[in-house]
This record gives sequence, C-alpha cells and structure tokens, in this order.
Amino acid sequence: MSATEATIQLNVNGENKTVFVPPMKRLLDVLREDLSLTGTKEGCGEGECGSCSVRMNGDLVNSCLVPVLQANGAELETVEGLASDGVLHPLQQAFLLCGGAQCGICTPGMLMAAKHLLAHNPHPNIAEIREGLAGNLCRCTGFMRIFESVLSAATSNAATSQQETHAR
Amino acid sequence: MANNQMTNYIMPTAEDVPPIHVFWEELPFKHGGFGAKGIGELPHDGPAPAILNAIHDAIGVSFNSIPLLPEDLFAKLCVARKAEEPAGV
Amino acid sequence: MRGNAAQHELIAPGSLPAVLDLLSSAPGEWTPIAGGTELMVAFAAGRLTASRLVSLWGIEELRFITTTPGELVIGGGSTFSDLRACAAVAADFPLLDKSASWIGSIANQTRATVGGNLVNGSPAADSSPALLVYDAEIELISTRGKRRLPYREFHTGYKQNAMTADELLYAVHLPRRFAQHHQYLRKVGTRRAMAISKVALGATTLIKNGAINEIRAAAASLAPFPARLFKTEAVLAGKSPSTGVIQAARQALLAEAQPIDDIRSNAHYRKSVGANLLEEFLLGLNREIETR
Repeated sequence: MSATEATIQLNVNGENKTVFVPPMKRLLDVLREDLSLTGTKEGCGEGECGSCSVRMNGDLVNSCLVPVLQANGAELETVEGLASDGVLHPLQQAFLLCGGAQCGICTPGMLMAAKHLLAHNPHPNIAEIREGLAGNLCRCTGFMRIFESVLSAATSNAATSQQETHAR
Repeated sequence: MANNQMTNYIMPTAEDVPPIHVFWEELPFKHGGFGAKGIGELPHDGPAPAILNAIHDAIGVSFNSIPLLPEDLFAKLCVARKAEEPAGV
Repeated sequence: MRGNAAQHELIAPGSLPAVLDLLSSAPGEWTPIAGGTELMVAFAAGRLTASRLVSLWGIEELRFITTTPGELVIGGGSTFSDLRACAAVAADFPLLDKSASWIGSIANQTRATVGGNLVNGSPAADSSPALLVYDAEIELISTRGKRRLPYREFHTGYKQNAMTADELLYAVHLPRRFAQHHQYLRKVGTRRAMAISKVALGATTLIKNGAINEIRAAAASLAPFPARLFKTEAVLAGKSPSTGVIQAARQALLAEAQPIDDIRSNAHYRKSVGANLLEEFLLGLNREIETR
C-alpha cells in the first residue's frame, strides 16, 4: 500500500465495490466521484450540516469526515439504496406526500438520519424526531414538514407491522 | 467573510426551531395572472423586527440591530442595572 | 474543499503494538488520527500540516469500557456513542453520559473518540469538566510502557499536554465513588444542539452535616484549557452554602476565571454566566439540604 494510492473494498447498498484511491480521500468524494453515487451531498465539509450523512456498519456518520482508508471493508448505506426495484422507501414516499423537501440538498442526509432513527426507534415522538435529526441542517423548510414526513413514515411502519401481525 | 464556516454560522437546528404555524392571507394581486403574487423571500424581512419588538415588550430595553445575541442583551442590561444603582453602593 | 488527499500519507498498521512501534521509531513524524472529527475538518480547510498520519480507527485494543469494583476504565478509542450506550457510564458517571450527548450530532458521536477529545485539548472540550470533577486519571502508553497521571495535570497550556511524542492516550480511569455525591453539569452554548461551549461548569460534592465536603468544580472556556477552579473550591470547602458563602464563591470564580473574547462569545459574558452556573449549583445544594 503506497502513500498515494490504496486498494479499498467497500460494500455499498449491498454491492461489493473496489476503488484505487489516495487513502486520505474523503469517503464523500469516493462515493460521488469514484462510484458516481452523487445522492450524498457536500453542504459544509466540516461535519456540521449532515448533508453527507451515510450509514457505515450501521452507524450514522458524516462521510466528509471519514478518510476512505477507515471505511475499508465497511458496509455502507447511501440514499441510493433506499428505493428497491423502483419502489420508493416509505420515508421517501412520506417526504413526497408531506412536502419534506424544497431545494433537496439536505434531503438525502435527512433520509439517512431518519432511517437511522427509525431503525432504533420505530415510533418516535416529535421530541425524539427533533433529536434524531439535530445533526441535519435545513435552510428551506423550517423543519416542520420534515418532522411530519418522519412521523408519517413511522405511522405507516406501524400500519405495516399491524398488517403483518394480522396476516399471521 | 464574517461567517465562513458552518461551525460559526449558527442557524437553528431541528432541536432549536420553535413550532411554526403558517396562515395564508389571500388578497388577489390585480397585476398578476389569476391574482397571483410572488412571495419569494419577502416574508424573510418580518420576523427580525417582530422578535426585537417582543424583546422590548418583555424587558423594556430596546434594540434596533441584528444579529442580537445573548451577549448583547447582557451588556445592555448590565449598563441599565448600573444606571439604576444608587450612588455610593 | 482545499485539502489535497495526494499530499498526505495515511497508513493503518491495525494493531496497538504496531502503532506504538511506529511512533517510537520516528517520534513526532506520524500524527495519530482516530475518528477524524477534528483532523478531517482541518484537512478540508487546507490547514492540515501533518503529512504522515497513522490511523487508530478499528484498533480494538483501544476501544473498550470495562468495570472493576473500584473503577470504570474507558479506552481512548471509545467513541461517545460507546459511552452513551454503556449502562455503567449512565449509572456511575451521569455527568459523563450527559457530556457525550453534547458532542456535535449523532453522526459525530459515532466517530469522535474520548482520546481525541482530550488530546485535541480545546478549552471548550465537552467531556473535560465531567472528567475533572470525577477525579479521572489518564493512562498513557508507549513502547516504554504505561504511566498514569491525574487528568487535572494532563493539560499544560493552550492545546498543550503532558504526552511525549511517542505516547498514545490508552485509557481514562474513573473511580467509582460518586454514588453519594451531589452532581452538576451545565453547558451554555450557541444553540440547543451541535453547539460549541461558550462556558460549561461541572461540580461534585458531598454534604456532611449540612456542609460542603470534597468539592470539585471545573469549567470549560474559563481558562486556556479545561481546568479545576481550585481557588473557588477553597472558598467553599467545609462551608454551608449560605447566601454569604454563595456570594464569596461567585467572587472567587470571577477572580479565578480567565476567559477570552472569541468568535463565540466574550470574556465578560463567560465569567458572569460561569458565576451564575456556580450559584445555580449551590442553590440546588441548599434545596437538597433543606429537604433532608
């Protein structure tokens, strides 16, 4: 492994990828440039806005602060992995219906933070949603419709799980 | 640039923003198609004076510039308190 | 983005002995990088002077939290998410649990490490006031072995500490003897989340026969580094928190504190709020004494 380039193995949204990049290259830039996954955005480059949020081995991280060498061998989830077979994720549906996006720059990060929140807390109240999204800044919406979107998605989760229970 | 980093450009997070209620006042604009009117960023100008007026109403000290920080409030209140103290205390 | 990845060498030897060998073979040559929440910000801003970096991420020997009857031992590579997830931290060291929730956002807490927070040595460091009032000890490690020192002696100046060039921060030791202590920690920041401290105050004390005993008080952003308020403690030791004592303690803090004006706040505000936090702590003690 030389100083300038390293072989990095990543599992991104279930697919194995190999890149050959400087080890200090930011995970954000590897996703966007080397893997053409431009859904993850750069808002500040300082870990302050959450636009670059992805999940790495189940943890929510700011990809602008991860040197790609430290992601070697990791399982990554990005916004591109939310929809499957052309079907939108319940969170994406909720954001559409509730008007949770305006310019859309914060939206991929918001979706990943919301996914992370619901993975740990399927039925959050507003206070818990605020806390779960506190690392994601939005300059357009004033946050209200984002909270509604997450609540709506959580409620539809509940509906889904009721259906599953009743179906048994 | 005064705020060249997000760490120093302090905008409200999801934990800071108070509940925002939106009410529509619909007065058709005669020069706009079907009465339409651009709203753009004009409503942006209202909140700051409203908040400064509310502060004046609450504590009786007036401010007329922004940003208005706790440090500014504190400095002015300290001056106000000093002015109230009887001489010799 | 002003950082150029090609200008920095980053390697990951992957084990503690390998990293220590590297550091001792060329002291000062390699800069350790843990979660990167400080160094990568500098990198993106074009300010990262370190051209050779060695990664501590993923080294399991550094990432642990263990409990013995007398101590909680936190590995330097533990993240603040690790602290928040640990029941023993919440049970025995609630102020540290609280501090961990203050670090940036959830996405920062999964990467920022205790070791990084302390070695970076910001005067505003979130974990420091709690660690100071809990009498933490720092354990350092190198190829020459391990050594321990009280955390209150770790910081020696603005962003300077007692480590030698070949050492890593191996662990933080916390004595499990605060169950009966009255405990206080409050941070005043620029907003409710992701807020850098303007000032923070921590305190622990016993109350014996209505009087303050074994008081520890520490602050962030009232000195060039996070520090105990020894002179303020001296004014409080052995006293009941009466109105007169509270006033004397406020004056002691105002005299002892040396805050600065910076982009986040100013010295006058910081000192005054620091004194108010101390008063809030002491008034709280009064209420608890009265109800017993």
